[in-house]
Amino acid sequence: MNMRRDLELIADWIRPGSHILDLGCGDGALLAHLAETKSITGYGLEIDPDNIARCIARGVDVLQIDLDRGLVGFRQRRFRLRRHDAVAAGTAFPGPGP
Amino acid sequence: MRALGIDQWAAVVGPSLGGMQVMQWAIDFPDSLRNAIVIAAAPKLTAQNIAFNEVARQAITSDTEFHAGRYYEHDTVPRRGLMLARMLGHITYLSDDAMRAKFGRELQAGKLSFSFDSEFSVESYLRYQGRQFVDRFDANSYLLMTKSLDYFDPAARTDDDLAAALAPAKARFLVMAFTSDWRFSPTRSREIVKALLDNHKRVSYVEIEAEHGHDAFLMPIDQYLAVFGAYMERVAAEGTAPEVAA
Repeated sequence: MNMRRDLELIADWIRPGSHILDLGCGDGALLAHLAETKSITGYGLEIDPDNIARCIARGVDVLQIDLDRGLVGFRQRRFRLRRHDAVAAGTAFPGPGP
Repeated sequence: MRALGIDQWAAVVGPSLGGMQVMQWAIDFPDSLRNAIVIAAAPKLTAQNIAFNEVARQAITSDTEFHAGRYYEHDTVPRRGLMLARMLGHITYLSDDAMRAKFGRELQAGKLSFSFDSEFSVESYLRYQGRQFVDRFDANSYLLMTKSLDYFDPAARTDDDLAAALAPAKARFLVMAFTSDWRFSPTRSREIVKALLDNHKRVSYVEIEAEHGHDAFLMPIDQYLAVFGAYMERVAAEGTAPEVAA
């Protein structure tokens, strides 16, 4: 299996069974990989419709959110970053904002 | 379900009132469904939403042909009332943009006639929609369905705590909303998603870009079909996995 090196590197840091939040999860490759190899749970946040469909096809739980507008409607109570064991921000902050 | 010999549904899918039904099933029968697909729904109706339903009901019940609901015994139907109810409903199911794009201020006859006949295209469209509806929908059903919508409020049993109401659910959720739907807006779907997240339930949330308002859930929109299709393929694939089949 042709595994992406970056996914393996990240997987090495993750404790099995962790709860992961992937900001800008893209096509969900990382979360799918971690679910398979480390039995993690968690959510991907993504804005691009095509990527969202790819996440769903992979069985990754994805939430369509524009991170530039914050976690509108979601950022309360238990859904807080510190409740997750790890946060990955691969493509969420690709460069300076507009 | 028992009559059909089915122990567990792979997925239960519903839009609008159907989406509310899906939520209720997931709460009441947690072991009976693996996937809950909630489309263009809300955790409960707002006062404004109930108000629209009430005007529709008043249109029907104040029709002289209504006969306290026993209109079939009088060989008639409350056509006028049902038509008005549908016309009102139809306006709220479309978006302002969709109506502007579809009709603008276009005139039926090309010029104003300064009468109360239908002059603008949108008027004749609504009249047509209303008349069509009368032939395929029962007035009492309309009354009861709008009442079901109004009453739906799973959090009423849990001190208005939707997360607590959804706590028993075991299904994996897909929640979908449409950007121009103002009667069951994305904000309301996000409330459902947040309640599921508070419970650490498995959930995906997708907001489909669409200009058709609430009616969008009936439209073949590419992104909608892609997401729904991908999810259902996943459901089908997982349904045959040994641990689920066992």
